Amino acid sequence: MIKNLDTELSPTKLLPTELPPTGLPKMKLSEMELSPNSIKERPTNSLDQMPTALNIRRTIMSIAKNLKVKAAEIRQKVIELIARGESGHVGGSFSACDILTVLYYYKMTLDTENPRWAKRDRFILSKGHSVPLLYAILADLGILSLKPKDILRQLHSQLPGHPRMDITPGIDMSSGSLGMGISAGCGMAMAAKLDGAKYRTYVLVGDGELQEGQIWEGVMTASHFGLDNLTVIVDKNNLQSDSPVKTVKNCGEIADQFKAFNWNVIEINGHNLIEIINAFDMVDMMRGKPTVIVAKTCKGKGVTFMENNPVYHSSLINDHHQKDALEELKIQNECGN
Amino acid sequence: MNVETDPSSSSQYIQSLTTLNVDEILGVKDASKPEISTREAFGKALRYFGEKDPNIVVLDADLSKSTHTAHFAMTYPERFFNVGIAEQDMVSVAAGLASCGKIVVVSTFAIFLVGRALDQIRNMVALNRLNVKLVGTHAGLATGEDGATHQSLEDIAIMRSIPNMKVFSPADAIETIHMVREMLTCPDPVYLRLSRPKIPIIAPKIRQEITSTLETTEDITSSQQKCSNLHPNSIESIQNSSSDPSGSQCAIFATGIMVHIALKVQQSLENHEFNCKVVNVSTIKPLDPLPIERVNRQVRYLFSLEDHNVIGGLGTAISEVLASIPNSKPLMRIGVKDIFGASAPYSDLFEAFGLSPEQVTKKILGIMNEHDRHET
Repeated sequence: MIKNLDTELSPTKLLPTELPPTGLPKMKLSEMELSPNSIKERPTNSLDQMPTALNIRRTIMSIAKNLKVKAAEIRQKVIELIARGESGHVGGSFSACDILTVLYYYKMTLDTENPRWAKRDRFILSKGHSVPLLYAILADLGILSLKPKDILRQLHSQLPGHPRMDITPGIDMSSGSLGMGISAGCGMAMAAKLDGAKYRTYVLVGDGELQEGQIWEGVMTASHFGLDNLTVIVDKNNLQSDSPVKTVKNCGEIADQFKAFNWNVIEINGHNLIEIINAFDMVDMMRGKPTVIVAKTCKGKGVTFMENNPVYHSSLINDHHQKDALEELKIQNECGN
Repeated sequence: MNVETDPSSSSQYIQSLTTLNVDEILGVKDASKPEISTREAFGKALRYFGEKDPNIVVLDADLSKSTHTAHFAMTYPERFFNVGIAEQDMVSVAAGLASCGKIVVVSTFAIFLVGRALDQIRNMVALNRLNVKLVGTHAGLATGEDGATHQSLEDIAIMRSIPNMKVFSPADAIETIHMVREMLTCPDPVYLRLSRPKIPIIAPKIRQEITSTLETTEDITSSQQKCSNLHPNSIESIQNSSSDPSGSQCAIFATGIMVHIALKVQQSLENHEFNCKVVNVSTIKPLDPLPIERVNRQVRYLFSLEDHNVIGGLGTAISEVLASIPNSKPLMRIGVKDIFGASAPYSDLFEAFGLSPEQVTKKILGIMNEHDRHET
């Protein structure tokens, strides 16, 4: 388990010594610039492509910087989507924004032309109420083309209040009723193993969601069947609909619980882009066990007056607040931090 | 759009099997002789079709010996997952597998499947119209000694009220084999309701009729791809229709294990000089209204017979059709009267809850005699 990876990268942390030479990191080091992943064939690692420690560090820092700008842009789009639909969950969208930005713009292999491409990596938003975030990303990637009628949570729109795989391109599994995502992810990971396919399945769950009993059924299934192609990310923002998770029903030490079920556990700061990148890259090297990334996050992250404010779980954003929020995000976007 | 592989091609081979060697599938010398439960026929059919299509994956929740998915598990262990005592997990795992192009069969007792995993069935399987087959064994009072907690009396009501869901309830081992084939070739969610006891195979002549009816409907379904046009199979006693050209006095719509009870009732009614038509409604949803309308014209009294609560089940489904027909005949629903079951051998329970052939005959005779008295 890696606790709070330093923001300063060191190659030893990227290449754990216990790994055999074949387990070199599968990083897309050639991609200095961000691009929607439309790579059909995954990059293969060979020794002559072996990057120097310095190169790795420079590349990761550069990618992280670009991703940070992208995350600010996505947050603006989320605000716009929710404001236009006059309804939607902003807090949980923002807490998971940096994680999903890294997943979609750095980690996952997708075909933006063909969202149903059989070999794509899968993503399940188990905490389905954070779907404005996913819509913003899918639209930005061009997987989802938004028309004027596509208003969040309105009739005849491609943007329902919770994800629908039968309505919105790019959604791999419908969700909304909490607690089912890990189990569905197990099914996808099993299908990949049965077919000898290399795609990975990522599932994002909330920390409040861990109160659902089915979560732990799925957790057992994943470890029992050795689903090392399944990664769960816990968006640990400490707040749920009614009040803080600790007061509603304390879930205890999340990392310890997953460890007890024989999972690999990585703990990170869910808003530190470098830690997120490192965590996802490390996951690729894990064999025999599923991995959970416990990401400490802040609900409403990115807009000061929304941060850790339970009011912004699902409240309406008025024009005044919208303007303030966009202003703050625009500054982040321009400054790149 | 929901699944990766083209659902119409996924089980083409199974669809192309025009004749099925029932004896070979069941592993018996003559399938008309022994008594076989529908769950056992399901397990053996699954093993048989599993060989034909490597895309079939089977899940069970620690009851594979009882549900008979163990036959598949032993033959194709790499495509069988026992997820343990975790029905909700099982159904969601199935949804994940199906979203990646697999044909997934999940099986456990009907009560645990429909009761425990309803949210998963509705929100993951049905809403997404995923290729998941939900097989609930041990339905109804027929489960017997395990008692009320294990006897599913609400599953038809629940499952037929879920959009995109089809509800099949076969009458004997042979019809089960045909329905397993039907559900595997249909890309939609299907609920297959099976029961525990060993029951006789319906007489060969009538069996032929079931088979031919199903084969006709399969032509329709393969052309439409969505198997929306299955018909209930009419089983009419040969001697009845020939000896009484004016038609029968009453008809019993029965489903699952109760078809075999209804055929016994038909025999006893005949001894009382009443002609009775038995209609096997094995496809409860989608329910074809035309045969019901036809039977309504032919007889004076209608009865429904089910090992299920009288609320929401087969009787309710038939009455919904009758309600829209002018001059429809009265329908008397026979089933479990909105109470829970009990723990006892199933034949004792059927007697106590009014579902044995003797009790049903008595009830039907009572109603018809009373009506006739009023009319004269």
